[in-house]
Amino acid sequence: MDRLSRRGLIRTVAAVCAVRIGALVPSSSAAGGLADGDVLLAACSDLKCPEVIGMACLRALPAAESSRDVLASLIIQQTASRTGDLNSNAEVRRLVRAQIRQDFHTGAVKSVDGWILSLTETRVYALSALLARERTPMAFTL
Amino acid sequence: MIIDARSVTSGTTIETELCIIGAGAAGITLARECIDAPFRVVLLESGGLDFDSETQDLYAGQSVGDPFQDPTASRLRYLGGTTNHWGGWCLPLDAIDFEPRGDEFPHHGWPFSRTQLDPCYARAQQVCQLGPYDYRPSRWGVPPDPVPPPFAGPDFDVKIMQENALRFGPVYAPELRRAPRVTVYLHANAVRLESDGAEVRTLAVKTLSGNTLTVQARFYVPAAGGIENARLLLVSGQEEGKGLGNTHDLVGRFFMTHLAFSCGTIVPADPHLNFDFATNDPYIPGKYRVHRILGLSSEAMRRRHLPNLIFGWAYKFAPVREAIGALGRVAHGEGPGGSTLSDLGEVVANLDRLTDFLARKTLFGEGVPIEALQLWCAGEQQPNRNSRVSLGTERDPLGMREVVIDWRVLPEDRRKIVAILHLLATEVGHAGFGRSRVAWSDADTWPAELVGNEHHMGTTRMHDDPSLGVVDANCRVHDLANLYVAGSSVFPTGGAANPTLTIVALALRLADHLKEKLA
Repeated sequence: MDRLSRRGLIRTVAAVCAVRIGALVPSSSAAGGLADGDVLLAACSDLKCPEVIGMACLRALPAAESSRDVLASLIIQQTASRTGDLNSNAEVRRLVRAQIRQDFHTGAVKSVDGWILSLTETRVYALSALLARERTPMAFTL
Repeated sequence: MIIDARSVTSGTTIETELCIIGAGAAGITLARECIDAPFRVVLLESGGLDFDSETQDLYAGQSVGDPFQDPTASRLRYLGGTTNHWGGWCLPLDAIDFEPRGDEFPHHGWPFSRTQLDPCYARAQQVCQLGPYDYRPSRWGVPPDPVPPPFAGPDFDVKIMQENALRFGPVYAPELRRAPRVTVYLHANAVRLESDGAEVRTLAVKTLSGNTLTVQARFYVPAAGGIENARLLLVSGQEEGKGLGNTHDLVGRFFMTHLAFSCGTIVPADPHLNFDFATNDPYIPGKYRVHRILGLSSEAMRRRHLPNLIFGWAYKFAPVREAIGALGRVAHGEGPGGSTLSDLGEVVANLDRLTDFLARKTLFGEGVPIEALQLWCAGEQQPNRNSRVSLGTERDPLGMREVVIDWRVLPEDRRKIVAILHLLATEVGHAGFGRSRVAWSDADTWPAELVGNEHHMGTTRMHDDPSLGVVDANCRVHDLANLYVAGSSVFPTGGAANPTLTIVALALRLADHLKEKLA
């Protein structure tokens, strides 16, 4: 994968991350005033924001996976075997969702603060946190 | 009839054919079954008709093992025993609980199958005043279709629990009072069984007021609970000896409870999840209720070498639920004083949520969104010889040595429970049902809530081989011709089901056996 397409890939994955983990699980439309992601967050007192979840996921992953490029490559490597249009946000979301289901099927899961997450979604979350940190670095100094 | 032992002349010898020690679920069931039999029955109860703390304190002892619930709080010592505060949750053990499970689960299994106990389970349903002996989910309105994966198999499935918190004391006392050949002695504490080595000859009984009585019977049946049955056997026999029925040092050992604790949370992907099989209120056809719970399937237990485990859950609803309640109260003009204002505030603050809810309810028939399912579980403990009840050096006011409870959970227990929780979380994710947070993700840690609970089992375990069990398949103590044991202390394995229905079924089975012996 050349540098340019990797950048495109990161942008795509960032778009995926923007809908956060709630959208990665099969979802219905929001109800009762709860956005999808909020449903997950609401039950988890000490994971109050997606950045915190992302950082927790980052900590749960091996040190070698602490850069955005590595994470993006790993996510794409996993989903590459699936046919689809990687330039389409919707298609990437579909592929990532399928990979997440596959992770659960094969037991490729991570325990993040007690939450049992698929390896792929753990990486997506971690990548999301890294990308957010690049955008607003001061938000992560605390 | 019912007699207060404190009013009986000290030194009296009571002669009977059958002496039952303890008037809880097992003892009362056994006595009731013999009401029409042509022999006399004495039923001894440590307490009276109501709770009194002096008697309750006779449970006192020390705990030296893993964290354990204090028996003075979890058990009850008066007519009806612990049924005076139980929750009434009943379900039979699974067939797999009766089976040997090889090296993966040492000491597992009973000397007979579930099928052989089924007729007694059916009768136990009547004693516990439950519904039909039918625990198939389809019988209770749970066809397979609405059960969402992963709870429709293969690893997890729906189980049925029937509930009736029947108080055996007040409910069955009138029958016992009227029975001409049954005598219930209240405030009568069994303190020592005397034996000649082949048979029990007499039972020494004391009251806290100082009376000493003797019971001479053809058959004796301790039915005093998982700890007290072992205690009575250990204090009996020769002074400073090993106790009765303890040739192989098994009395008090293999002490088990259910591993019960809040085990995690499932956040459903769809807050309007299809949990129709369980979202309705429990079905109440009469006096009893029916609950649908979840459990590890027998197939998964066999294939994955895991212990039995059942799950229940409490719903955490979206905040709109409070506002709906407030709206209802406002609409009906309910709420004294300032609470109407507070309800109005709740409605106004959640106007957008209420509007959304009412629209969806009207258009799609949807209910209140569910934010999370908060799970509890009860798991099977592996029989462990080193988990035990023994005697301490302290003595109670009757002069009996107090118990030392050394309840222990094996590393295998922890590892397997953690494995089940991970399996559940993984299957929940795989099925797209949602995500799970497990309360116990590391077998080396210990959930604060996990304490040995009130389901005391195994201390006089049942086995055909005297070197592996205290009682035989008929609940008779191997060494002694006329000493039997009733209650959960005879359970060689405890499965995940609450024990009372099995306790009652075994008491009925024992009654049949003793009636035959006394015919």
